[in-house]
Amino acid sequence: MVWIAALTASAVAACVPGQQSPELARINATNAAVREAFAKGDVETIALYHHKNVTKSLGPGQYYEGREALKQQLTDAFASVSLDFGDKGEELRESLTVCGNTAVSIARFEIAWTPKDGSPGGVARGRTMIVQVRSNEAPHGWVTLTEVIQPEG
Amino acid sequence: MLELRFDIGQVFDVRHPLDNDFHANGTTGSIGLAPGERMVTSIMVPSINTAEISASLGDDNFITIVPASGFTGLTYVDYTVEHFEGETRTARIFVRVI
Repeated sequence: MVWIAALTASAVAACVPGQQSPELARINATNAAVREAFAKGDVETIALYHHKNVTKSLGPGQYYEGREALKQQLTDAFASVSLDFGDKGEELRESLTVCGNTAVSIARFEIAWTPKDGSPGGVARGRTMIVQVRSNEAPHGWVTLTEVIQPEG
Repeated sequence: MLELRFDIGQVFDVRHPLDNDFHANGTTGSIGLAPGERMVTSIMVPSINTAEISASLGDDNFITIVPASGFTGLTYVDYTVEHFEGETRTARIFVRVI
């Protein structure tokens, strides 16, 4: 029984608050790079920071599976609007927990959208939950595996 | 092996699409940027990447990139290019160390 308990314990990664994680700087750098790429409309760079099997729910009617679907969605979006997360960075993050090779965060977001046809834009707000996992394929070593967005209003 | 990607749209004049040709020289990963209408004015390794890679700009307009010992994965350096008309642009070189 003791042996089984020990095995179970060793299989569960220890979880620490993000501020205590040695990975915090790399996760923050990942998020900053994604925001920067959004501001540039750089689909390829955004894709670098997403797992090939990423799943995203951007709203009740918007669900995407896979990096290629994400790239297509972004390409379509950037064809008509510019998107900018602004400079609040991690100030909007409400929680971050790092469990071994997995990081789970919840954050508010504000994203300014500006139509490229000159018509008025606006700011979309809401809350998002992001699951990131370690990856040797991405700069800073983390990619988004899953994201669920709750749009405001 | 170095795997490099240039963001064409941010750095190079689209009228000269071949200008983004480059070559890697040997194991140091020196990158030769084609001479012509622009020159690299600075190379910068973001602080988050300094444990992974170093880079320097030589007088010959060559960027030398050296991965840190033991590092594998994808990282990057940023560089600034000045066009002969004075316009400057900054772009990113991604380097995959395997």
